[in-house]
Amino acid sequence: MPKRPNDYTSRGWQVACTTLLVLLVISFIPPITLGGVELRRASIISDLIDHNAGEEASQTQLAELPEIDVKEFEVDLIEVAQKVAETTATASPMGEATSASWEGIFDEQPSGGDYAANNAQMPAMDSIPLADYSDILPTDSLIISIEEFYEGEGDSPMSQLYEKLLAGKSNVRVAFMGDSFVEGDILTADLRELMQDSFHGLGVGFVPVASPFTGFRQTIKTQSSGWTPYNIMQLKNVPAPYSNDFFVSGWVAQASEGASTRWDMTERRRHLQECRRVRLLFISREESVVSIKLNDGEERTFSFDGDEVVRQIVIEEPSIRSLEMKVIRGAKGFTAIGAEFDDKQGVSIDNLSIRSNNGQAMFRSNPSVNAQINTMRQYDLVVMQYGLNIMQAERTNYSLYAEQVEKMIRYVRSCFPEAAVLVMGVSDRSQKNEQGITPMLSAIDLTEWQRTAARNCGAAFWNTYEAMQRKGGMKEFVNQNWAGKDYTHINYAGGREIARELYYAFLQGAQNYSRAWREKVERQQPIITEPLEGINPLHNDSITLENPLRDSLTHTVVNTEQNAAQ
Amino acid sequence: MIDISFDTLLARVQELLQYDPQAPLIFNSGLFLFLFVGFSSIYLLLRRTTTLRILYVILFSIYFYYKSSGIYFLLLVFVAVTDFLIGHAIVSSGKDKRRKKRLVALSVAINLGMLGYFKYTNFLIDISNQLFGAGFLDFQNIFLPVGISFFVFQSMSYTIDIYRGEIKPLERWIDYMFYLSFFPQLVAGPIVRARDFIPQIRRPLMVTERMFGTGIGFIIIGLVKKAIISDYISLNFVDRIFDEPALYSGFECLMGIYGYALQIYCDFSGYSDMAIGIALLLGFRFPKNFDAPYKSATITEFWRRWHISLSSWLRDYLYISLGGNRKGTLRTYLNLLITMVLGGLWHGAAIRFVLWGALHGVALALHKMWLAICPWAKKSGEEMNIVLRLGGWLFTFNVVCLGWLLFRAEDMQTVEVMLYQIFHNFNSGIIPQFVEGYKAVVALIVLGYGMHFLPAKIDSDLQKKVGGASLWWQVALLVITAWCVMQIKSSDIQPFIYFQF
Repeated sequence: MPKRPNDYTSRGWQVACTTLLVLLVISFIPPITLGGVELRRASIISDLIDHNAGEEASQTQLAELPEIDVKEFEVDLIEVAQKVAETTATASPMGEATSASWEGIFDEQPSGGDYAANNAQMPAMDSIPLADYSDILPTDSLIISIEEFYEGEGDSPMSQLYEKLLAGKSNVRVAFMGDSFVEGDILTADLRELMQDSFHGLGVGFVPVASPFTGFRQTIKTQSSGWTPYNIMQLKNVPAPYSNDFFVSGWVAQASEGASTRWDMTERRRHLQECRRVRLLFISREESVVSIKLNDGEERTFSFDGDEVVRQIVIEEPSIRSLEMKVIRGAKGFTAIGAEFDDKQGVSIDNLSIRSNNGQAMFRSNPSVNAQINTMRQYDLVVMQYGLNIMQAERTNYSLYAEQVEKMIRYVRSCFPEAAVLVMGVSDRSQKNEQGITPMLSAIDLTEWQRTAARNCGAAFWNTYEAMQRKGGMKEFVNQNWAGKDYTHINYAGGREIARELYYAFLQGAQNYSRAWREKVERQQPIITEPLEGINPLHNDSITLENPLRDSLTHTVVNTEQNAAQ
Repeated sequence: MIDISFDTLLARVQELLQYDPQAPLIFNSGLFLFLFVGFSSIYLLLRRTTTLRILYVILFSIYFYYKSSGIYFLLLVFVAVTDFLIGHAIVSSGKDKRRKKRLVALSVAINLGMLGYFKYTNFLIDISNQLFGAGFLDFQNIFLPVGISFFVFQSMSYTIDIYRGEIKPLERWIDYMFYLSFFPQLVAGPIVRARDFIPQIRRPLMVTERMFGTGIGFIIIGLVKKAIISDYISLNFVDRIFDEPALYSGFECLMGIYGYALQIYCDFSGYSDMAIGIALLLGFRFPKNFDAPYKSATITEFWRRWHISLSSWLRDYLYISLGGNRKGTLRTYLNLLITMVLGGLWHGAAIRFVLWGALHGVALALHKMWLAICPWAKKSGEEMNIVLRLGGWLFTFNVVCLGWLLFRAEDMQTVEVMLYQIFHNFNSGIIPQFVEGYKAVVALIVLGYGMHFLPAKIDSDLQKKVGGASLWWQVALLVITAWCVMQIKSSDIQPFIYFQF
């Protein structure tokens, strides 16, 4: 039967067939660049055939791209060391004349900086409990351990950290420096919660006085007005003298008359509802008057002379739930650096995140400011979480960046000499191509370069990439709603997952340290073990962290002979 | 160099064709094009053998459904059996009105019971747990069969129309199964009424030039809307704003909401455009489902243009069943509200959809009230002068966008944060940087809204041109669109851009 001219019934099939054939041919056209625009391979059979299998990624184009802009963040480490030395020689560790406390000026009560507390006699070595976290920890093979590359004499800085954690007598302060990956207290909120569960401590640690992102941070409520915030990444836009006021936190805020900030503690994580100490950090170049209102009740004012040094107001109260500060006079010369919320003991973790930063932003901070703050709040550990802002999909060589990481470690050690340094490897990240969402394999290379840098400096290292891989990698993080759709940034839920792994690593480190310490002591001398009441830092009954000394060794006199017999 | 053995390839093909809830068969996939070529070649061979062709389409449709929902294709068969039998029982009840009523109630109970169980059980458990304390009831692991909301509504339209005497029951069960399972509309609509579809089932198969042109036009437009605009802007812009709104300025949040308005329109209408287009190529006409809804100057007009097959279904089978406007003014408003709240709930089992429905219900009721009070008020933009129309359009668009904010936001906190950012932290200074940083996103948003606001005549002229073009032109258009889709699919993810420092 002849086809009617208006009958298009078979046309659909014809069009579909021809389209399919043309698309099949197109599938074999490799990716091309036309007029500077990169065109991907358009493969209709990408589900069946991986066109890239076996193809080596071209490195030629990448070689022409700069790996890292070193010049923009130039730093002379000798100069840094000199500045720090000058600062620590002249700055009063007690904070006299630079500090004020809720009760009065510190020279009346020289416990001001925690310098005194930190340098107090450490607990006697034999009071380190044998830590056993087997109830919490998964088996060793499932833990991503902290790798230590310390080759010096005596205990490594990480060991000193574990010792302090286990002794539980004084503050353990952690500066968690990072990029947008942890912005808004992501990851650190949960790491802090877990660490405070096990080793005590209250409060969110360091927070900026004003920044555009305070609203994003869930772990403390910040309402600020009258401030002009400046970011260290935009140094060109920061007028003098404020450009010289940066702490490694990367934010300062310049006051206008009446500038104020109010902080309210939240219940977003355990141990945050209240804290026992607040430290306000600022520079007052002119005479200034600051008022502080505590828990919506009592209000006091503090006066300061004009000076370039970092000042602090320390408020210690049994329960601090809200605090309001207001610059009443001297706003012009007033640069707020930040505020810290913590307790007089236990763990305190500062989230010091700077978005778009690959770590080098720290070189723009003022070493003297860093050193002064370190005299007030001595850091025991500096974590460096960087790398996302340097990683490129096809690049495997990060030697220049690794050099900069080494420089960062040395910079941190200059400013915070007592702190252990832990380099976190870059996180996992995925990309989109014709196969859909695939892992960005350069994360493996960058991780290796970061590890090498840590090794060269004798710092510690933790493999973030591996920790994420164990949970299925970034694609799974997005599927689980633990990460954003850019397949790069995690959210709070994702932060919790990684924080738990890092927490395990710390517990494992502390446990191993206590075992090694015990073995060492037992080899050297017989010890009489009595129940070590009061020294177990783990008072929280809800967490089953038991001191096995209580159970197995309470009535036993252990000496080396007996050990040998066993 | 591609190095792949025949066995590996075969295994991979088998794997691709198997049931995979994570990989439903969607029109904008390469696999669908392969299957469609295979399917349509046999379909053509069977064009003169109606019953065999119907059976063949049913089998393909069942496979189509199996690919995403596995064994649950039996639900489809079950509904087709029960409602087919109930349809006949209603007619054979003669004048026994009570029996008829009981039978139609049974059909509604079966359909809604199934929908309720699969879609709303955990939602109700969640509500009970919130009322009576956590752990009051355990959540159930219930699989949500794809498209259940659509085919259940379609099937109800059949029995209710028989009950109302508007259609006669079908003689053959396979015809009913064909209607219910016809793959183009099976998983995402449009909700095709029995009375619109049944007359087409056994009509001689014939695709006219106009049908073909419209069909290809719909497929191309649908691909551009769904696989280019919607997929790109959601992944690279909209999702991240809704995920962490506090990280973005008010301007970005507002663009996120306007972007989402475009995204959901392009996603939903684009997919149903493809369904309509494919059905046309197979010789079947579906009713229009979207009619440039954001051109509306009143909320009443919006609901005549947005998801028409659903809104008219709700009007005919829910609103009118509740009494419509026949039981006094207050009842009319209440009926509107109930209809829209349930309509909201139809979109998903969560409070946010209820709130979205409630917002639209209240807006529709207020507009009805306004029409009653104000003599010069109009139902739609076409009746207004240009100033009123523009004002009405601006107001309606923003009310609809407020609705989308409720619809999309995970929780009320997100809603609050986004509104706070818009009203307190707008930061219009970043607009130039925004345009610079999100070039592709901005271009696609402009393209999407531009296409949307084109006069309807241009649309139909283009379709005519496509229909009349030579085979090679038609292929070229499809290939170019498919190539763009694949470029978008494999394009880099736009990194997060931070404008605020």
